[in-house]
Amino acid sequence: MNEIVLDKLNILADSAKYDVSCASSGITKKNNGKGLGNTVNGGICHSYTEDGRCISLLKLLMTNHCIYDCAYCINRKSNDIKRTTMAVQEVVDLTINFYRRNYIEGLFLSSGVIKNPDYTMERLALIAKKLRTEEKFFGYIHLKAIPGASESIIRLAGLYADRLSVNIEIPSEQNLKILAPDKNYKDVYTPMTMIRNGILQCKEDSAKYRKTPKFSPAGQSTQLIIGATPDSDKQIMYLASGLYKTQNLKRVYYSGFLPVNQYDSRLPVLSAPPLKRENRLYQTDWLLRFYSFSIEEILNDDHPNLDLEIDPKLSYALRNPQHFPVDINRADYEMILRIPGVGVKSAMMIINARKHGRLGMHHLKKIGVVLKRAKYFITTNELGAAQTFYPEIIRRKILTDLNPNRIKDADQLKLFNDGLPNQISNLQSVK
Amino acid sequence: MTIYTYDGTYHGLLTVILESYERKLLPDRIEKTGAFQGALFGTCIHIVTQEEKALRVWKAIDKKLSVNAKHIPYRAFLSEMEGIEMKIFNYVKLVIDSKESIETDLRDDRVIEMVKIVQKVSKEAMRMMQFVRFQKTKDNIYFAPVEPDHDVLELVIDHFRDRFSDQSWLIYDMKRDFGIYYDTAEVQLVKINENKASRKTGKIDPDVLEEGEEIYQKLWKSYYKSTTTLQRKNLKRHLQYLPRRYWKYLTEK
Repeated sequence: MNEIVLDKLNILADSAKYDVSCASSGITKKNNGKGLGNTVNGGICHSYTEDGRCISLLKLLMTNHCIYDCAYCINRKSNDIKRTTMAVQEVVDLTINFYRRNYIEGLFLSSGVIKNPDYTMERLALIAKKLRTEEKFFGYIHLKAIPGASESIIRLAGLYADRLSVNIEIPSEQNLKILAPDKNYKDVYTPMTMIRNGILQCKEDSAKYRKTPKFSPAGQSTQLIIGATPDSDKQIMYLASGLYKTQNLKRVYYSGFLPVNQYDSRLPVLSAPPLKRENRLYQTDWLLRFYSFSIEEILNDDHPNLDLEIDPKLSYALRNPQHFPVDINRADYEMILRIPGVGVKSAMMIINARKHGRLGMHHLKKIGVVLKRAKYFITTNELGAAQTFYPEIIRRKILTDLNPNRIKDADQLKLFNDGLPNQISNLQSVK
Repeated sequence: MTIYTYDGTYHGLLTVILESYERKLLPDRIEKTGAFQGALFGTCIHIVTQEEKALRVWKAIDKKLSVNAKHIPYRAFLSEMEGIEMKIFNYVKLVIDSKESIETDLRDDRVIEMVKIVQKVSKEAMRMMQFVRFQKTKDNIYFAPVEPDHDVLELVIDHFRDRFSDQSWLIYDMKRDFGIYYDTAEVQLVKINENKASRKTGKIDPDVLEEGEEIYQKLWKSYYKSTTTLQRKNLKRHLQYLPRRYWKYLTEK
């Protein structure tokens, strides 16, 4: 290891960071004294960057050379940037030595496409194979499946990787065609389907034969870029929800568009990446996966975009007053999960605790329910609990709780503008 | 007022619990011998730790609680919080006196309080798994200094032993001055006579470091920098996940 590797690492880590996936989760694996490393089901974050994102895996491109010219990508062919390639052994050494120091959970290796997809995919698989067989590495390996690579090579990669992923990037095909003329949805879906089938096949086989080799045991994921194209939240989330169902994806990542390439008229000019929107999409994703919401309840033709001011669960509750307030002592688990301010953990605790007797508001507070939000949506049948449900008022009250100053100012301004011009002039004259 | 004193070990505390039952004299306070300042009023009883008595309480707890809750009294003890002894006493008493398991009865302050304390302790153990940073020494030991808020090293032994089963490592609690040491065969609790790590930065003396260690630290630091997206800077969230008190021993910080 030396300064040259340092230089390569900087370039290839910098080019890799636009893939936001970092998870090292989805599989528990022990090494039982047979080598180095293990994986834990929940994954482990080892550090956090100043943008508040977790570092779990060593996220690298094998090379940032690329034969494609996708408008949104920093590594596109037409960009004048420093290019470099890591040698296979360099990636292996970095991974092992970072791992041994407890810096990382493993490797997330992606790549620009060099020569052709098969050649590129084969090199990625080779690195994973080396780590597993020569270094006896039991840590996490996430490989990118290169669109266009043949099935046999993807199959090979899946034998060594814990997770595979193919990025869709652009949420609709017509927009993908505009931004990435060399790509189409078929190229992306083909490897995705190969991986899905590989995983299913492996599950079937391991039910029959004891020594079935594992295939991408921590599943597969994908990424969608948000805000580079005019696709609505509804389009994005219906696509994601469909992927969870039909392709059995473990995760869909949403990456707020960062204008890395200046002066491309096909892309919007944004002053900052759409972080709030990205956050709301992740919250929606969570509601689908852990809160048993269906996508139609959150986004539909009447409500095609998420509310940026409030989270999607609160927004759902305010649009569906007929389901509230929820009786904490009687409602079933699914309904308790729908209360704004109640998370999965608190919901479980409520279900367990109420077996022993009635719960009141003070119990909920101790359990960890965010009463500031939840209080409008629950009843414990205590005295004075009956309240009328006015969504607009609740919305404003909660927003005021979140940010007292901004909302107060806004409300007052609105009040004055609404028809008290005399008072404004009075105020001015007083000053 | 009845005050029991004990030697500060968990088994000592369990012995106190059993003895107070036997004497039919329940404690109002339980104090560690060293920390105890004496009291103006009341009876003060010192209890000598007896493994056999401690074990009886341990077994009684084991019988009454499910696998999800068995660890609660011990983990709470590791919190080292002031007054934790009486909280544990009240909890164990409730457990033993009740016919059915009370572990999920979160309406009871004695129960929810212990659950919340244990959540904190477990989170701190998790943070050790996240934030331990090894430096490789000349004698091939991977050394990591830590200063956990609670006494959690014991809780991460299994994790590190399985993960790094083919390398020798030492995770050292700089605050409590003891460490867990693995020699590729078994884990021992150890105390270093002459600590070569700086209490300020955790860095080991360069003359003890293995050649090549510094380049990996440099590589890691530089990776940490280049993987940050500056246009997305969010220091509030950064600090929420990576509180400042852990920065001291983090190679990348």
